[in-house]
Amino acid sequence: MSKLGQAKRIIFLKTADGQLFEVDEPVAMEFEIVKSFFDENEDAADDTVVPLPNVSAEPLAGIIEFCKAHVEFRANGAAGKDEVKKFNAEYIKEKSNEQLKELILAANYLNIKEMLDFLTETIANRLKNKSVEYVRAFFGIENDFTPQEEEAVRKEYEWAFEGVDED
Amino acid sequence: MGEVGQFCWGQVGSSAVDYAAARDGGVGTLLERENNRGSNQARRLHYKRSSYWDDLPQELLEIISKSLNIVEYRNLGRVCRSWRLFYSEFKQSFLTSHSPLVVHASAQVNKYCYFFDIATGMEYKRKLPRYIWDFKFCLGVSSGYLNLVLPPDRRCFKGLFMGYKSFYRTSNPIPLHAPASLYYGL
Repeated sequence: MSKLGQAKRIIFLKTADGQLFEVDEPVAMEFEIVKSFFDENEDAADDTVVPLPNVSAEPLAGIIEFCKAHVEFRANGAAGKDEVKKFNAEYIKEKSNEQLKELILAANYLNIKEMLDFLTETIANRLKNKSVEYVRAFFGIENDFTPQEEEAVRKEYEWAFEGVDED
Repeated sequence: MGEVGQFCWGQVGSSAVDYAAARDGGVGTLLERENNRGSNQARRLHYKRSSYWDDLPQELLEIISKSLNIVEYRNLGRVCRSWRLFYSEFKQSFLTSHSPLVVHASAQVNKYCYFFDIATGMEYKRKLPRYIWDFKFCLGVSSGYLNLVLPPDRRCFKGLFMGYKSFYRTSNPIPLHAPASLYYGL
């Protein structure tokens, strides 16, 4: 009985769209915002529901999947190994741009360092060696400069550094 | 009213655009802000949430930009207005976060000058203004500054700065450091 009681603590998280998630404690503690919630409310009951008003269910499910895998990797001593890279690559491959944006905003709000590092690195890789037009098209960003602004920006760049590889 | 403002802040986060709106004293719902922005610019009248990457919070753009080189960071500032706002505000800290660049000037092709980043192995090239084609005065680029040696012939030096009225428009004594943003092209 006592063994069962100690086995796994479950943390309850409630998303903006009202869904309740039951998450294993080590996974939930990856979220800095959840961790500090319990640090600040030490006497919080075990069945306290932590409200996450800025996160909806879909990105949270994705985040839990990621953190769960990484908690296991660390437990198995696989951190930093090819296995992790493979998982990360697969994980991101399935995500649309829209999902990626939701994930990055949620990971930022929940303050999950490892995941945020991974996601921002992914975005950076999509900006590297790309033209402005490509970036706009890829991220679905509208060119909202006026022609005058565009001209001013272009002038500023007349003497700009160029990447040598571009020739 | 203050509470409403805070609520909006929490909901829409510190995205560049909303940050600007809030700073300008704009308090209201997200929709109102968008309408206000839209009326400021004809192109934005039919602002849609589909182009949503432009409201990525500055704190995230900052983390992302740490992995970018100077050329890529520059391009970030050309994508859209809110990214440009970020680009302008973080330009200096971006520049100073980079290690000094080694200058390599070729004797044959002196229209261009090459800059080498030892830390990343990245090489940049830059068109040179004709005043410094012979490259007598340049020592290197460090922490955002191009280090120059004051040449004996001051007229020549004056010419160099005349080429950049936007950067050098006062009658102050000629500095030994030219603003580096000039040389990075940022």
